[in-house]
Amino acid sequence: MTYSLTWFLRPFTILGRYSLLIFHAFVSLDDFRTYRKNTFNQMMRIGVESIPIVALAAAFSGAVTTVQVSYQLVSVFLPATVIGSVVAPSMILELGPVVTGFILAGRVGARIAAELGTMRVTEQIDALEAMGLNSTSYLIAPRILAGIIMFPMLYVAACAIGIGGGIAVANLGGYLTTQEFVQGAQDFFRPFDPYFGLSKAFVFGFIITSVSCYMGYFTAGGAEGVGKSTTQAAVMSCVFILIADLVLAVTLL
Amino acid sequence: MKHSKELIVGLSLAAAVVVFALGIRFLQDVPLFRSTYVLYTHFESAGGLSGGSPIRINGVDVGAVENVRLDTDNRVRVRLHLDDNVHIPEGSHAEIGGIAALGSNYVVVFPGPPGNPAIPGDGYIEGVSSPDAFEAVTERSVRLTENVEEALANANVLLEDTGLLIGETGADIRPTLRALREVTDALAQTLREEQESVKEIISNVEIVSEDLARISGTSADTLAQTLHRLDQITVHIEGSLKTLEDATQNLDEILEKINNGEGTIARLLNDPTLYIQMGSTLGAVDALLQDLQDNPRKYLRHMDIVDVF
Repeated sequence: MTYSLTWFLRPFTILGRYSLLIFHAFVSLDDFRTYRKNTFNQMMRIGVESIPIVALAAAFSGAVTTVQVSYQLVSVFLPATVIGSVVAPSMILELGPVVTGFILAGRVGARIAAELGTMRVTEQIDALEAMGLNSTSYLIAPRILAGIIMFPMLYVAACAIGIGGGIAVANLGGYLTTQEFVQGAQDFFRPFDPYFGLSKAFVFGFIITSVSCYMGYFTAGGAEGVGKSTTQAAVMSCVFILIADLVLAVTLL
Repeated sequence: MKHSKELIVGLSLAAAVVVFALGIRFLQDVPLFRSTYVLYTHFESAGGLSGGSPIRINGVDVGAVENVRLDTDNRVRVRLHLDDNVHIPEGSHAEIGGIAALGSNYVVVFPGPPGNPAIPGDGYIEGVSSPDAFEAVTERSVRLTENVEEALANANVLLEDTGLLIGETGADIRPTLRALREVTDALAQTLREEQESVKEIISNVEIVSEDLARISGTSADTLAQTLHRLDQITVHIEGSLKTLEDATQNLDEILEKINNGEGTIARLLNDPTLYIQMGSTLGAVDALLQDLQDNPRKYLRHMDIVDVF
């Protein structure tokens, strides 16, 4: 009886612990100058150093989408521009944020969880506390800040490169010309779409960094625990990205 | 080292902002760097027009709609971004083109006389509201659907009636159908049996028509002459017939006169008086001759010549 009740209440316990952790990280953020260096370090690692892998993934997803859409939409009634009208919005609305999110869940999420997990199991976090530093503000706030600032940047890069990849393949593969692609993209463009994608990127950035910080911060059980936290961070980030993706689409569109 | 990190982060963020802004401008079909000017217009209905919809003159993109707003008097106020090198002469008007249902609406600008001065920036261009073709079709298709439904209902009733009819008289129809089938079978059999003769007949007909073709080919001249003569003869006959008609008509007139009792012959034919008189005269002559034979002296007595004897 008590076991099943505990099992039922466990997700809420985790949610509460997670919220409190994030809350503490930002509430006790007294003087930003203390965390500035750390924040820029994290921005470099999370944001700038992720650009190559994000660009690669975005270029390929844009290219693949273009090829597959032109494979699917072969009809005399549809002008070639339709391919651009499909690829550009799907890149801006869905592929850009979600592909970036998945890649960074693996790249950034795992890294954060491994870092914090190792600090926890080697008692470096306790050492920080002993030195009088607020470990949540010192370790978690810069990472989350870096995430929510740099993710939109990565999203913009992903969209631009993804659409560029689509155009490149459309040209090289002989599917349609740049003019047709751009014409199609412009015909059905809605100015709200990029802002929606941007808000997705913002939310995903927060989810990945905060979930990974939580997983790493509460690591227990030595090296094995660090491994478990790292895996959990990547997996749970992806899961919550998918859920948030749906929730945002339903509420904002 | 610390500064370079901050620099890199700052640069990448700035680049992202620039790419984002330019990207939206690009996808809205507003020229990236070339400057544009703004015109306003009013429409009764936006009809699916939205920010980013292209503006076209004779099918060429010359700018994009910046935004679509509802005015205080509930008319639709549209802000247009036009390329700087496109001049819209005064007297032009704008319409909404495209199909709203497909989301591919655009503003069509019909340029006024080219001699007119260009509309300046922030100017006003007249907006003409035209009904969306697709909406018109949709409206009509509703009526059409109703008609079709009605027709289908009628057809249903008809089919039910027919079904009833067949059900009631099924017993009568079935033997008829059977007989019909027998007849058809018999006909088919006959045709099968007579196939050879039918073929023969057809081949005979072919031969005949070939002969005919040959004859008409070889003796075409003779035929023509004969026909010419026949024509002449026909003309003669026609003349004769006319004469005959005249004669007949005269005869008709005469006969009519006779019938009506006009003229001598008519009286002769119709009046019995002459006959009676002649009868009695002949009777009297007969009696006289009889008397003369019987008593010649009676008559001769008075004759001097006889007296001479």
